[in-house]
Amino acid sequence: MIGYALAIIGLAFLQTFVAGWSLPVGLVLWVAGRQNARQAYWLAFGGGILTDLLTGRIVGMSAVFFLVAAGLVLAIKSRFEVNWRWLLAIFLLCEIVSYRFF
Amino acid sequence: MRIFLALLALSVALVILDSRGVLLPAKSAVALVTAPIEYSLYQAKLGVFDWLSFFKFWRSGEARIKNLEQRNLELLTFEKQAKVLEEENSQLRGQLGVRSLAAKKLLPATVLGVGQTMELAVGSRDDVRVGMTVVSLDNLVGRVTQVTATTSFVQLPTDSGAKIPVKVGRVSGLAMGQFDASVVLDRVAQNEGINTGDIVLTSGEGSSYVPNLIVGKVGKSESAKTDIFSRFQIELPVDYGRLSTVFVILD
Repeated sequence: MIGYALAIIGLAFLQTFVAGWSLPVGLVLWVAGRQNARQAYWLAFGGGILTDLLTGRIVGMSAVFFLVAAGLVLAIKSRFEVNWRWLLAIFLLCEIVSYRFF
Repeated sequence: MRIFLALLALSVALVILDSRGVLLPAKSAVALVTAPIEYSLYQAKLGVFDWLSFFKFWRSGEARIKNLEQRNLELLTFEKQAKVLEEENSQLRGQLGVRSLAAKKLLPATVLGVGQTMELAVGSRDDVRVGMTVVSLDNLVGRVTQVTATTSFVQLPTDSGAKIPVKVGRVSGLAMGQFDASVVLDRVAQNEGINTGDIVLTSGEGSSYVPNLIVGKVGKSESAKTDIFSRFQIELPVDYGRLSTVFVILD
């Protein structure tokens, strides 16, 4: 439970600090990959709302984004044999590329 | 799947309610807890960037010092010219009955965070109202779009919804935020003689922004000669993500 709360705070923290989307989404993916769907959705929702409150966004925007990301990953995972670590690596790469070049 | 749809519907409902201002009282209450965290995070972020900039300076320090010495000499010359112009300006302002920014009532505001909007630690109890202009020195930072009791949210020029009436010399135009967080000068008639490096100021048309604030410098052209309007990039003088204090113009 503590780890779960820390993950939500970490999600908001990453979004506040990095200002990109890939890293927070990557964290959701990590939970979606490691844990179950219910936890991933609640993480996406809780982290999204907290992110919005900490970054001055319209409340709910990040939650929608994170939920859709988590939903997509879980749908892909259930249909195909995709290794979530690869997905996480791709998202991290996207973050680095976007941070470096854009 | 049921949880996913329920949470998604709830999130969309929150987006709609917040964009209509229904959640302002709740946000105001939550801000009592989130504002200090947001402030700490933002200050930590500024600290990290300062720390990184030290290393950048260390690597290119010598060249930068030489450059600064040269700039210092240039600025001394400009200072003399500026004093003469300032006297002329103040005489003209007096004749036209226009007050300078220094004569306006400015409220200092601590920046809590910068995301899509800039959040400030001042709100309606500090007499901040929607529509007020926010500045840093003479540079435009944005316009207040939402106010709670203790916090307020500022739409930055980089916001894709920002449309700021501006002028370059005597030429009028519109500074518009883009989705990639850049700002362009648009709606300028062709052959108006705008050059790279010209200063873009708020025009004050429509009374949406206080006039004569610096928006930026004219950058490279983005339009073809056959276009009806000219379009230029605007180089912003301020990195909004690194401001820690700004001023709200109260009157």
